[in-house]
Amino acid sequence: MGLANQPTPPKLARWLLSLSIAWKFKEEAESDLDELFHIRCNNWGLRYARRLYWKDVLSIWVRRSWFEEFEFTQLNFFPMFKNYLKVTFRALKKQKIYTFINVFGLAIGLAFCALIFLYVQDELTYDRFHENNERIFRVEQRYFNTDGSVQSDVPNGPIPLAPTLKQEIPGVEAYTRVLRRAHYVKVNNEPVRELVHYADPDILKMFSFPVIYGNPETALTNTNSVVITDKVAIKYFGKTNAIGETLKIRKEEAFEDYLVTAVVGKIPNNSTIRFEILIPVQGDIRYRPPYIDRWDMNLYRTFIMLEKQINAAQLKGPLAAFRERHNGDYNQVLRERYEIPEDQLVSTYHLNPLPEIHLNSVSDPMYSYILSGIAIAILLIACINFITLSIGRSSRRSKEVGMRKVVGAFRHQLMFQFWGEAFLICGISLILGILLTEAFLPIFNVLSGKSLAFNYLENWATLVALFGFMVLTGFVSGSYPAIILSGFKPVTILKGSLKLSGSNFLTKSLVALQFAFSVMLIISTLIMKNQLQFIRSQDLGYNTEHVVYIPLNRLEGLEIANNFRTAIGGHADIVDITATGVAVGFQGSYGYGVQYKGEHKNINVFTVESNYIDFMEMELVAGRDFNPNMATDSSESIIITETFAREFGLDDPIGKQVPALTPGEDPHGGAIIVGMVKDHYFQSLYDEMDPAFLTMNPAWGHGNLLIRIRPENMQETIAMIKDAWNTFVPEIPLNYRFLDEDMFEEYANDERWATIVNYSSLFAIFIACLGLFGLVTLTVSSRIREVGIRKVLGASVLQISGLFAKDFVKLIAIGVLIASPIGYYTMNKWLNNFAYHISVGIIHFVLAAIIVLVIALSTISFQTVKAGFTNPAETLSNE
Amino acid sequence: MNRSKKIGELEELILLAIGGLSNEAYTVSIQQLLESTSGRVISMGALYTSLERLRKKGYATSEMSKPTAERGGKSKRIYKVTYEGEQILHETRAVRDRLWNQFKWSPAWG
Repeated sequence: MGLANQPTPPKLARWLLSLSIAWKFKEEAESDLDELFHIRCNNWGLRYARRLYWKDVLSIWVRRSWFEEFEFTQLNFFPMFKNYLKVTFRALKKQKIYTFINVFGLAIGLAFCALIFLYVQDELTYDRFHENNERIFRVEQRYFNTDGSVQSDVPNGPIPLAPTLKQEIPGVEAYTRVLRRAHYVKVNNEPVRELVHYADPDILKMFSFPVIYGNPETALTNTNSVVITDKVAIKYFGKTNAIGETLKIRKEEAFEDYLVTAVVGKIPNNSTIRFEILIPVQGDIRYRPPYIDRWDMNLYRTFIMLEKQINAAQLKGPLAAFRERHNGDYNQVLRERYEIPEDQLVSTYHLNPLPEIHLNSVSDPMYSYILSGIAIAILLIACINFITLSIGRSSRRSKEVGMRKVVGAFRHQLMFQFWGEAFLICGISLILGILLTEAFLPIFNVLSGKSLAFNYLENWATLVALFGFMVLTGFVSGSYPAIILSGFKPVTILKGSLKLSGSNFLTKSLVALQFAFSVMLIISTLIMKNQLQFIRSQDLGYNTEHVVYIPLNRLEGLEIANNFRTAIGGHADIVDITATGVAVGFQGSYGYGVQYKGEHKNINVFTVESNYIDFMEMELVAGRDFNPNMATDSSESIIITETFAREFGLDDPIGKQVPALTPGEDPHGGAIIVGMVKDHYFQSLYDEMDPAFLTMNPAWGHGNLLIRIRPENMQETIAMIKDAWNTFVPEIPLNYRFLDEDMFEEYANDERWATIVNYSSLFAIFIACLGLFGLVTLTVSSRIREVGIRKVLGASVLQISGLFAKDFVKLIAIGVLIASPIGYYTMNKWLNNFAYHISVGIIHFVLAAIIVLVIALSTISFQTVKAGFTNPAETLSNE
Repeated sequence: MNRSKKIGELEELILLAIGGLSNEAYTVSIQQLLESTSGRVISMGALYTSLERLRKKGYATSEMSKPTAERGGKSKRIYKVTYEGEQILHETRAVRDRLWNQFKWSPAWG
């Protein structure tokens, strides 16, 4: 018949057709379509026939009714379903370890996913609750590079910016400037330090803060009005309706009266602006000449709300012109300095949309990615447990499959059964997972620095997502038994010629993958811990132990320091007393940004007293210390750091004039370098060390008091300091900290992330080991007769344990090999956040490998040693 | 069962084709007949579902034929119109006839 030369239907379409396994017309349809194909081929040609073949296959896929397919097996559908459930529960009960591993592992995985989903949702919905969020923008200064790309965005703006914008740019409906300062607040009682926000009256109109009492339109129009939250109202007045009450706020030297005009409810945590106490911006210490009309001082955050029909993109041109109009001089300076071409913008005012502020500038979306990655890794590890254990168990289930097939089960029924089983286990895990989420939430909130809550009605999205995760997990983890196990031929299974051991290639690679995940998390944990330890143990170049640190809130430090010295300075428990402008210890400092030989440099200035170097136990490397008896030292002498000398190229700095500062204009200009101290870390180790100098010049104020005390009798000493304070500064209470206490607050974020990764790796290795334990149990039981024979032939317990351990050690080694380069890459990226960091060493990988090996081996040894000790007579006798 | 006993246009055509093909009515021949008489290329997916519906409504039955050589030794499913099937065809035709008789042909269209 010449069949060989006949054209054939498209293979892909044919395959697609063959996939509709459960369809009862399948075989007929295949021959029907073939016949049609040949008829069409003869009548209309190959192309037409192929096209129609495709069309028919697709139409079959689209039109076939799944419902009818199930109905076709309706005869005993429900009794069968009951039977599946029964068999499933029997299997679950019979293999408790297996059930526990699967359910518990998946529950942890799902709980992690729920937490991460809550976190990400919170991040993404930041500020969305403000009704006008799409019309509110933060006005930022945007600076451009020579090539026109964005160089930086400065979130603060000058004081006159907001009102001038409203005057000159059409479409600006409302504005508010926002800043916050810490002030003492009281009613009648002891003053308390509180964070006070300042803003323009429109703030309550623009943002949807939940006003409980008072009129938001007029609440801030009087300069002595204050808006507080219900929490503050209860704290100070004992009731929420505090309208008309008086709150005393000490902004400068004395307490001023403020009248409560509105009370707002709790402001959601995912709001960029979150105030407790809000007063009009006019009351700010800077809201007066010379700052009030200066365009070159960036003091306040500026928010504007556009009219409904205005699009932010429309304002691009007007804003650039506006910037040129008001900051033209500065633009010109920058243009010349950086040689920016005339046709390019130097800087402009840029509108940053409110909903994007958080992710753009406050929070690093990287954290969301890291968290999601960890959650998915843990869920995957749990899924892999499910799959490997199913493969391991399949030898036990294969008989069941064979029987069912012999009795007449269709493949799709078996698939239904196995997938159903997987979904059932996942469903149980989901319930457990939700409970675990509730249990973990408080810890997670501390770790992530959020205050998330899981309200089932409000967070329906989370529930839906969890359900989705569950379905996905059930699908993935049930796919092996459903697809592979259901496909075996009953004859081979029942004859026993099918070999299904616990360790085929798929299982092996999955286990290796699991360990790769675990090893990666452990490597990260080790490196993060190591780096944080490195930071803490870094020799800072000064001594912060037992130093009481008292911020003075705009009181003059020199006078107070002198008073203290005469009053308590001679006491045996007081080592030394000094007043400084900024306390060292990463709290930031004041300084100059200067241009020197074409390069931009920051100079940090520490305003100190003559005993400062002694007090901080810094090391003088050249020149001399300040001399309290030399009049010129108090204004015209400075001591520089080594970095300063290096950065400004001063080989022999002593006796030279300070470079880059202008005498007469800068308060420290023209000062003479009299000495040089060893470099010390006054900034966090995230940044490269900047040049700095010490000066006694009081121009920038001595705003802090430092007292070093002896560690003995600490309580009495503090009480003594308190007494002295109350004598000299009776109007405000003593507020002190220890200098080394919040030294490391700067790293709090990274500490938190290290802890999260730490916990995650614990869970990851735990779940992976659960799986390993299950797998070893299965392997051992399937090879128990082999063990018996080996023992009879004289194998020792150790040899038998080694026999089993060998395979797993290989897998773990592969896991380490996979994890190492990925861990190296990601951790290097993280370490680059720090200017001073450890280097990723072989030791981290070796250590991680050893940890995993030890944990894994001790997990499996329980089973392998047990196998080694079994009496061969028992295992071999039953045949 | 409360299934609708109504018959759709495609189902009606298929039923008629089955009747017309008498003992030779199987999927391919039905498809080909409809294609040659109406010029419509009916997709196999539509054909299978319609045939299944006809069978469920009781208007057609099917049985497997003896294996034939032209289909590579495979048997084919031969469809037959049942008594109910013929009744419903009569009914549909009667409805159509009544409507045809009432139809006022527009003189404008000739």
